[in-house]
Amino acid sequence: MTLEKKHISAAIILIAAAVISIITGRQFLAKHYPETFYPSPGLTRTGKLSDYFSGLQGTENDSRVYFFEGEEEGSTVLLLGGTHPNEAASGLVAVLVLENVEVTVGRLIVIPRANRSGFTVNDPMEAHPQYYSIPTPNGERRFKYGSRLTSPLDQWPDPLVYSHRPSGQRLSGFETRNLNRAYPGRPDGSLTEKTAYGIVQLIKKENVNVAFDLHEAAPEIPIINAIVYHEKAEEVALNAIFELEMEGISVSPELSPSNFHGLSHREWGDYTDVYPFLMETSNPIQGRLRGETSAELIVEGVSPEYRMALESGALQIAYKETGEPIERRVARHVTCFRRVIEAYNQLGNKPVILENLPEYEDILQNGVGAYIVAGK
Amino acid sequence: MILYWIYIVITAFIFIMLMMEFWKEDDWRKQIAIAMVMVVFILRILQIR
Amino acid sequence: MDYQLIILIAMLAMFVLGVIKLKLPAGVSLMLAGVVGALVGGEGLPLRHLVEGAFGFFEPILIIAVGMIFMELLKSRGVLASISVGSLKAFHRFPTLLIIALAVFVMFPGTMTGLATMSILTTGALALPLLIAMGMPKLSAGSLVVMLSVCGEVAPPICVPAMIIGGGVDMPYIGLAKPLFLASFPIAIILSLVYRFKYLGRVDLDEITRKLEFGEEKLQSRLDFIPLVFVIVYMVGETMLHGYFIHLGIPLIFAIGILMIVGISIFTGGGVSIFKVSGAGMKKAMPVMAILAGVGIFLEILTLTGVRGYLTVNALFLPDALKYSIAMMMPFLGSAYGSASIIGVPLLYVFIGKNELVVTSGLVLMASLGDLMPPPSLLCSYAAQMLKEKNHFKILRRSLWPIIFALIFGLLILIFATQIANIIL
Repeated sequence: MTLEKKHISAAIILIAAAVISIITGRQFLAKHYPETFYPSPGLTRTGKLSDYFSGLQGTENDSRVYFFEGEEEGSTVLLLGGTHPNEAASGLVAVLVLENVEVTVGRLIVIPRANRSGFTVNDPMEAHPQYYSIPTPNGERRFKYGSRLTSPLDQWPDPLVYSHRPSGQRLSGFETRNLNRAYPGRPDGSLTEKTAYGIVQLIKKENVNVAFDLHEAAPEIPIINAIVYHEKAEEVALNAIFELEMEGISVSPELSPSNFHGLSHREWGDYTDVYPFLMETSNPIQGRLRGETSAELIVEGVSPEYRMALESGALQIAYKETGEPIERRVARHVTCFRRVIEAYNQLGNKPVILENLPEYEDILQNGVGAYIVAGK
Repeated sequence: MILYWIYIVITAFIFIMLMMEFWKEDDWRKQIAIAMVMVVFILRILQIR
Repeated sequence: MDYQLIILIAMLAMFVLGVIKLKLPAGVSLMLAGVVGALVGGEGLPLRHLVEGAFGFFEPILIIAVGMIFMELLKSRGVLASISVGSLKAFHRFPTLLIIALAVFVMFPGTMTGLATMSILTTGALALPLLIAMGMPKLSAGSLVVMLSVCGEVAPPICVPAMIIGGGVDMPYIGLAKPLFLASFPIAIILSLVYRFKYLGRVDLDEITRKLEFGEEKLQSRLDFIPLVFVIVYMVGETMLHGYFIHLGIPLIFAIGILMIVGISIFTGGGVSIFKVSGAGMKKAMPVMAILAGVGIFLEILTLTGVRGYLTVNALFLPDALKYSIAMMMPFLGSAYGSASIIGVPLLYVFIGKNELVVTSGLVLMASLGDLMPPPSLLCSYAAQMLKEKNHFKILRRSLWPIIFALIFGLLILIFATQIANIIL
């Protein structure tokens, strides 16, 4: 056999392609490790989502559930982080609460990684980093930065049009992998729908009274720095927002639209007895106007392009001149979370008392790293 | 889940076809183009990305 | 000069150099432009980002690969030729009706998949020889078919660019049918009529049948229509009546079609060499597959280096007239999906206050024209391939007036979005 020229070039190109596949393949695979958390001494037990819906057993989304139970009986609160793994503050706040909280009255349930599958990938064409690091007094702690959607390796292919059950609402096909379009979920549906179903089952079986779904959004998204609430939780939400405004933290109240389905603030409220709240902060790395995309942008939140847009006055954007650093985003979430629970307590409900959580100014001054364990 | 594996099989079939075209291709420029697409396919078939 | 602008210029320069000087395929040039952009942007050689970007259009790549094999098999069994001749026989007495029917026929796969490529590769491929046999000049027939494919991509029920824009602003894909209809069908009908009166006279059936040389591609068996009917029915069913059809997805629907053809060919004889035909299909699909991977890489690096944000933000400072000009720029990104995502999403914010559904449909129309523009000139190069025309820019040039017409149509939709919404919504 004679070796033709085309076979030589083919061999060289093939080797190059193989090398690229191996190098990048290792980077992709590296994201599949489970993140370690260091719960506070207040932790009483842990469980898994599959305890509430066995269909999740053995899947990537059989997320861990952490229980903090007070000595005194009271109401039950659920805190969900990582619904969208590209919304860093969401998962980070859940970790901060998990690693600090002490519950004296009532119960707190924390799911820090609601859609674990989404943490194993990144969205194509968004140029997002795979990880970001938070400096702590004892060194850096690395967190995964993921995709808004369930990984295609766990749920593929997408339908052309995603038809939400049971409403029949139609959305783009890829939204079928969006956990916050999947509620109330289905036991025989996709992994995302199963995950949603598992969370709704948890809310029902644990008799959760107040539930939080933490999010972040691009600065130009209209619903931002907001608390979205179900109509039945209006009084709690408005009281909490009044309290926050008194402290100088501006939060816009957003009533959950009754005709937009699949979202936690709508379906949790409609299908269970819980008071649902969804909270948004402003995260420049999610925005279309952002400049260079890097892990620093997640943490520092500084994008000159957003500053220009702000100064142009052409857009309604939630971006401060100094940026939207992770400290402020985390501080907002933690404070809103606390104020909503306090408002709930004040309205004569069975209380939930959470202790050892930092105040807004504390987080701004000391940084998020002061309130999380350094890790390995 | 069955659908998932069927799609992996379809992807694998296309990958084999790409591989055959790759070896038959005379022009190294076009070989690069095929290789670009092959990288994507192989990473999906091996459930890496 | 702003640094992002330098990065952008370097990327565009590499792309042009690649295509023109080095004679590289457009997909490879786009990838190299991405590499250069990353280097100039100080990102080094970000291999993960390059591969991540290449996954951006993985689903369309898969659809094109499988769809192309299916169409090649249909062609080898003579199905396409017999449909062309059949429709001609049915409608030859009414050329105006014939061309409108053809227009809707060409658009159909695009309306169902939201992918203009699907139209041009399936029904477009059927209509081309017919139009030429009816007396339309080769390049004009090509230009009509590429324009109709674009209209198919815009038209409801499935419009992927609209979904991309909606996904970027959290707008559900609801209530878009009427505005998208307005942004697609009138253009298709008007263009078809213009082409009909400009190029087509009386249709002489005998002469045309003589001209249509399908030679060895005789219909092997009537059973060969079953796979085509199955694919069309299932695609319609899955998108319109998804309650009754199990979700299979377009690639699998095509794959089942392929297996049916193979089965029928064994049953009826005549045979079909699946690997040989698939190879031919793959060869045709290859340029587009590489372009889609390349566009994904290009966009990933634009985002990584901040050029995307830079372009978007600078658009905000522009006076109203210039905002509309930016919308007019959308086709020049050379990809419907790319420009819907890069320009379409931020533009929807820029035009805030107008009806967002109508604005979206106008933007989608303008973005979709990108599929026939360079750098990739996707639709034109397909049409050129089918017409055995070496220079696909000739088809693009012939499409100049239709493109301008569609752009102005889209612009008017944008400008009068509020008024249009009051009337149709």
